[in-house]
Amino acid sequence: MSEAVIQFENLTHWYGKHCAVDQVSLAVPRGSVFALLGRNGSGKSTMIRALLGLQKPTRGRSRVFGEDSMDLAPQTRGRIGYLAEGHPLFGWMKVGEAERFERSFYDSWNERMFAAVVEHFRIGRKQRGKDLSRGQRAGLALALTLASEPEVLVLDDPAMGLDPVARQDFLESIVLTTRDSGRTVFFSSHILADVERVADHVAILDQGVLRVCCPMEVFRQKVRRVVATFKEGVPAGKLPDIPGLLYAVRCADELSLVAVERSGQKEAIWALGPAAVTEEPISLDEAVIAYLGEHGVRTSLLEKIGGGQ
Amino acid sequence: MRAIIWKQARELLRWAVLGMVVLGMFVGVALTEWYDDTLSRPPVMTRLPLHTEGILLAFSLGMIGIGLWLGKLTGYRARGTEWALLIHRPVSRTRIFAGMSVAMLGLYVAAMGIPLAGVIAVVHWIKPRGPFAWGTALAAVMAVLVGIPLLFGGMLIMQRRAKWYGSMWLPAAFMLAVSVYAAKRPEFWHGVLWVFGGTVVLVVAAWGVFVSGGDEEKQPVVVKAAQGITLSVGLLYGVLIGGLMLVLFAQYVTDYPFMKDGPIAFTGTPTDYRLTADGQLVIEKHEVGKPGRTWTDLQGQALLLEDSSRSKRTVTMLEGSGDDRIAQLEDSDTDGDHSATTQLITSPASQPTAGKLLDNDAFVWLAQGSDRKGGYQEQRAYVRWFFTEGRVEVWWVYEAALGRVVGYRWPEWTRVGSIGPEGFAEDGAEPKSRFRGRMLSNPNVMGKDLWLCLSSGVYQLDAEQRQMRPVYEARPGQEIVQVGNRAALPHHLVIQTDKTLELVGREEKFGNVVLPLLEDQADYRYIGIAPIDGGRKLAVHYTRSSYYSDQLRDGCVLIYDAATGQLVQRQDIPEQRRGVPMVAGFAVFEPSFGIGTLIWAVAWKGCEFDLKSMLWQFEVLGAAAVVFCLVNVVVAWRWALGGRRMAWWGVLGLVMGLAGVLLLWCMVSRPVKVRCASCGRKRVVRRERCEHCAAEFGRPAENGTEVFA
Repeated sequence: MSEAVIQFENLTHWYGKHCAVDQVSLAVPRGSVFALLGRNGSGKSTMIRALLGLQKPTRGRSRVFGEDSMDLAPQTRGRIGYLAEGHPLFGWMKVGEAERFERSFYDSWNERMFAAVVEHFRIGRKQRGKDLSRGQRAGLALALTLASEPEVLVLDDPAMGLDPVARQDFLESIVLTTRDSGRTVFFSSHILADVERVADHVAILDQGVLRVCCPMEVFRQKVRRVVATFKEGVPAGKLPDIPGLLYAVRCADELSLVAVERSGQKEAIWALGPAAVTEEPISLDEAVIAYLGEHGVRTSLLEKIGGGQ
Repeated sequence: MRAIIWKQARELLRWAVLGMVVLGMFVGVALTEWYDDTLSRPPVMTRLPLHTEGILLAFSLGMIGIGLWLGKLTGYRARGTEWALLIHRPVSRTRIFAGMSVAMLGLYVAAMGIPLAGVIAVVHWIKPRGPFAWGTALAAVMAVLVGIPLLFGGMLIMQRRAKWYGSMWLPAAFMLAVSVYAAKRPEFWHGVLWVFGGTVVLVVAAWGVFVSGGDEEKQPVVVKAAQGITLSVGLLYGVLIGGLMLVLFAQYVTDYPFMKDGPIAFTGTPTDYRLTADGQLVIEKHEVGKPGRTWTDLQGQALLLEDSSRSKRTVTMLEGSGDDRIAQLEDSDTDGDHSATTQLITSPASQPTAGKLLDNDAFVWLAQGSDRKGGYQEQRAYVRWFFTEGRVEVWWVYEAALGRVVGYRWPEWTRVGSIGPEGFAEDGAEPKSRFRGRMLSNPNVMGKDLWLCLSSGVYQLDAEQRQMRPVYEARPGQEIVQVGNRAALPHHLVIQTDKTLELVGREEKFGNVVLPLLEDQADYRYIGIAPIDGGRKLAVHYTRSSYYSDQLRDGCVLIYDAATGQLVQRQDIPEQRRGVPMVAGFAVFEPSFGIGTLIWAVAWKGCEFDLKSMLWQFEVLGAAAVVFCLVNVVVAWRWALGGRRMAWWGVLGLVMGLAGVLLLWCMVSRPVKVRCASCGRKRVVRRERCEHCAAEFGRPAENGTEVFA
């Protein structure tokens, strides 16, 4: 594995009586596009704020380029591009002013990239930040972040609130500008289609607890759907423990299980007495939702409706 | 940093301009008084333009409005998401804070300074009327300066993560206290020092809050100390006021005894002394609830005296003989009120016959150091107007900066010329000399309309001859400190120099008398001189108390022969013991304040030291201090603050009482606790190990779906 640019070590954060992040440890390899997934309130933004030294964690620490996040030197901070949730801008600044303001802090400034991204989002130089549409605000924020050519790009839910077209534009910009650049991107999101398109590593937070942290391919391989078909209907009652089970849905004669590959899993399924067991590939969407949704056995809506009749 | 300054300035500019325009309008309205030609006397005679109430009020309101608003905006725009947006760049947070502060300060000074420069330009160059003294601008400059703590105070209030809503505003008490206290200093540079000191505390606190994003745990000790100071002032005020209200309420419902004479009650009653017309010091008694007063000599022997403050006293002997007699004294006031009292008069045969008491009016009082009162904010530090009778065509004014008396033609305000020691010089002519010495700003002289009292000499204006007639000139090496000439000595002028006390005859037939000053005269604030014994003697009373009362309370009375200046008699007023101070009532909330007050009252205010009466107060206050100390220690222990911090908070509880306890709650984040899986007791989540059993936190429970690679 290549060198880790970002590291979290037992990061824990409590908001009052609520534990938002519980002893999370992970490493983001250089050059990766790392997606941090989780439901609202699962601790993604907290981790990002702690990573940038904006918030002191209750316990544990995080590092960027080996420096403790709480003591980041200004030069190191200059190597990290940060796009905060909601794409905040100084709304009163015109686009040109915002560019001049930002570039004054950096030794190098990629004017061409700034112009390209701004143009891509059809933003006029004389427009003020507060007069831009959401998509344009996101575009301007991204342009300002990318133009400083950061080695690490940290994006906190960058596509939130954008319509599909703006989201597409936004993701395209990220893909185009990070491709072949060796830049590390660490971003949080809950729009899974976007993640699938750009990310090569994925981490999933479930109520502050890290459940998944691996390359995307590994994740795809490990999480799959297993369908068990029964001749005389799915056995009623509680299912026995099936290793790696995320959730199972009973539907007529089929028991559809989404599970992580585990030893002894097949044996446990065959022990239920199915006529056949098949494995099916699963989309990232489904896999992530399986992690973020309610675990255990569910009854399909179809069956519920049927039962009602 | 320039970019940060630019950004901050752009954000605040419109508000600064708005503040400046509003202030300019207020100043413009205030100036109209200055140019009102319909008045019979020029308004400048009561106030120079930069000292008018209108101008000072405008700048004071401007200072509060612009200062607080710019500070609040700066703080408000640098928190939350905008704070993150602002600080995530390759510049240190301190430089960002400095840039914001420079912009805020610059705009504030501009918003306040431009109207000030404008008003100076108008009254000095564009449309001058009468004298102008640059020193008068200092009051307005101070009004600008005292707004600086408000800027940083506003920033601090907006950025600090207040734990409870009311505590958000606590730093306001500190910044206002600094501003008010600085504005009240009689010396300009003292005020500047106060502003500087207060601002440093607020800047450190605001800086620490900014760079830490309001997170208390990340702040360095110096920041916590600065924040603690700013919060403590508000808490102390709050607790003292709250305590007073509580005690007032207690008094209302339970007839609580300690508050009858204010928050600090003294159990003793001071003894009043009076001076008789023949120079005898006597004790005056007045029983509460009974009319009339009685007098005894210092040995306690009753005297029959006439109070000159009463128009008439009738003494009727009722009964008795020999040494014990009963007499009825009936006083009738000038306003027609009557009072009668019956008293036992001991040894009437031995009572002096010259029984008339001197009241306050019998003295010419010299208030030492009164010229320092008000200081640079007083107009009399810069100019002295002369008021002549009849129709006035020329107004004369002594301008300290020029050292000459300048004449202004009224109402044109053209200069006629000026008067110096050598005489009159036409306007435009080169003045040959100037008066030396500083102006005595508050001489106690009658008819002072025409007097000029300087430390080098006393002069009288002769407006017709256009000259200053010298009345008294200080001897070489001497400096006049105070001058007085009240009705008690109508033919003399009393001059106090730094070495002597002199009675200077206003006419030659009244001789001069030179008396030595008491060696320790600097210890006394007031010197009263009264002619006694038909003018054959002079009584000089040195006192530290206020001279507005007929009664004498402290100091000494020296009797001099008026002809020779020889000391005839010295009578010292015995040191007054004020009884035992009672502070325990409301001071239980601030025990150290109470203990300090007790010590101060005994050591410096002449209160009686009665261990029996004071011990219980020390016990109550000491117990209260220990309770507050323990509360803080227990809270700090429960919050697992560590040994050193626990000790610190214990000391603060001991010293600051209830305010110290509240300070702990205001400043320190209450830690979250969870039950330890190892020992079952509650442990603080921010610690790596349990404070009870040293166990680490267990890993989050796995559910079998983990995928790590």
